[in-house]
Amino acid sequence: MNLMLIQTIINGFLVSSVYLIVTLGLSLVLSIMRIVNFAHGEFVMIGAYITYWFYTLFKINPYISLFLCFIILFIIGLFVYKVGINKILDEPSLNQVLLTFGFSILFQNLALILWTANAYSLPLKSNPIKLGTIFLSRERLNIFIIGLIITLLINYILNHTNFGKTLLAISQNKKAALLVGINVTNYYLLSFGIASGLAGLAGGLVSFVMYASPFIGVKLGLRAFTIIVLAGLGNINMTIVASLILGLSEAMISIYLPQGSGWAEGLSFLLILSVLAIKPSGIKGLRTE
Amino acid sequence: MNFKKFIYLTLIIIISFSTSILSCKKQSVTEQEPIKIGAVIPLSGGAFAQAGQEQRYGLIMAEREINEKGGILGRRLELIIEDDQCKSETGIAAATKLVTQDKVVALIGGYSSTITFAQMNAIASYEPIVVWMGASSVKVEHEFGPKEWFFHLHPWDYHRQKTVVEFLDSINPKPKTIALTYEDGIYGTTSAEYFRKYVEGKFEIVFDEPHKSGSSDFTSLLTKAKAKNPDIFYSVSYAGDYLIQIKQSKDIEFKPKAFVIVAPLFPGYKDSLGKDGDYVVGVNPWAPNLKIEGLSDWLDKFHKLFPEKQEIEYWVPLGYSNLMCIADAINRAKSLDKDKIIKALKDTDLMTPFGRLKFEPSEEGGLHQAFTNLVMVQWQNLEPVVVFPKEVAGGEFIYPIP
Repeated sequence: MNLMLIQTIINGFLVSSVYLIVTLGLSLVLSIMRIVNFAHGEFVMIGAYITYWFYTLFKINPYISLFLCFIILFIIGLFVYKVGINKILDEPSLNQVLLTFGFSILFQNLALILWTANAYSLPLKSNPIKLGTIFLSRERLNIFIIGLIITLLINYILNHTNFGKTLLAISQNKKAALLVGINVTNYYLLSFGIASGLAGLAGGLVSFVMYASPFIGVKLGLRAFTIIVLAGLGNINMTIVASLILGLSEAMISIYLPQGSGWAEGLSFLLILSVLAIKPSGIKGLRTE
Repeated sequence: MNFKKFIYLTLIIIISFSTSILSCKKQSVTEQEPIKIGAVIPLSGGAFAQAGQEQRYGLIMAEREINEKGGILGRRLELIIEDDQCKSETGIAAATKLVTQDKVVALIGGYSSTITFAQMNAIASYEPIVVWMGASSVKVEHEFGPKEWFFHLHPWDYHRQKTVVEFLDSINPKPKTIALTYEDGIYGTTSAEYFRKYVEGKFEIVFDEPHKSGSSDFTSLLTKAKAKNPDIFYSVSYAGDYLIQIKQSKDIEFKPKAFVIVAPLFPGYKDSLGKDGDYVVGVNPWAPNLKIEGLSDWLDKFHKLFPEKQEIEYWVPLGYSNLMCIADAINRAKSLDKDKIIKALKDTDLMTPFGRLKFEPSEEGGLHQAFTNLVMVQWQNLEPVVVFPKEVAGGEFIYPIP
């Protein structure tokens, strides 16, 4: 295998970890509450700003800021749920889309007023790991490891704890869950908070390798939607596979197609269209009504 | 009536007349309708908003200064700023509203070439006076440059690319190979077209690929460019993309002899990149340390007015010069008559913090082009140093990157 191919595969793996971590929270909300949160990318954006400002103003280690990102976004998530999401849970999906899209615009413009439209990035000195002529970005490798740990943790919580099993039960049949006395509203509130916290954490990680700007969430959000469509509803393991498919395909197309970088960006749209046309339930997703 | 009475009466009449005349005059200054100028700039909705917010600082400073000095033609200047939200459709609506509803005397502002193209098409039938600071694509020049009512401040694409190529040509030892990447919008593609044209026969382009602005990852693009081992890496894109490209080039130890970008003096560059940002060189129409008459006083005034804004991009003095230019023309025209203002604009010779502002025909058909000169600025020890042309350089170009 030539060195270029190995470097490309590594690039693909590392970028897929960024996509995975951004997608987790969105996937959780969609699986459990059946709500497409269009403001998810903006939660990621806020996380990126939190890490940047804590580092710039108080010199807080960005890895420690990740916990703060989770907590702050968890609280913001609870607030958003209480003032908005809670009221449209049983409304038609168009209302849900409009509400979350409204929150997305609100957060973008708040960020614009508070922090201007400048792009800010953490001034972390590049220190790649060298394996002969192959290079691995240390930050991306850390994101990859953290992303994997969090995904496995969520998977464990969902499948092996009472809390997780209850969430799965609610996602499978909300009425039955209500009938057996589960307080669905509280579980919804908690899962929306956790999903928002995960988005914040993802934003913190994204700030290591990208930058904080009011519009950073838009493109990352698109990748997250592609992965969810590809993975199918309610399947965290498949989210890992779908992230890898997207990350690796983008890297391969960028390198091996003429003018590939432009084509790689269009891949998300192509995948969404193809999956919806050929297998709307995704690779191995649940079929829902 | 005796003489004493006559004198008193005359005095009373004179005083009451002059008071009424003065009050009339005072009334005309304060209560007359303000003169409206409309500006459309990107303030939200996308990456361009960063430049739009810079432009706003310059516009607001100019508006304050003009009104503090008595306005235009003795009337208050009312600057109406509209946000195009980085979208053509919003930009069209904003420009049309300013021209048809607000009935502004002139339209100023602008950033994106794509949005400008759409806006000018929409308002062309009204033939308003347009003094545009944005849009560098020659497509805009071809279409609207020949219009009598269209005045343009920002250098066109080819001015920029010509400067880059002249600069590369001046490097000793002369580089041989170039890797070129550009954002795939109208700005990037036309810049690349001119760059290819000017380097023909001088340098070999070994890598030539577009990219999407706003991408989260450029590692693959940079890996591909690195494989070609170019002397020069040249990227035509936007601030956020440069941050990632510069960082990721370090991650894969891609070390061309020079890393060239467009407009390298954007806010946050130093804080975001630290030492990784050193030695990057870029083409810019302005630098705060250029020897321009009155620039240092203007900068002092700006920092006093906006103490929170320490780093400024060239859009701030350009925005300021944009409003100053039209105000100056109206004052010289001594009228709001369109033809008279256009004539005054043609005769403009104004010293601005951006340089001397005079409108002259440009190479690709534009009738009124203000600025054409650019400089190359290199980040050295986290400070921007003008390195080209030699006549205005503040330091030597460090090449190759140590």
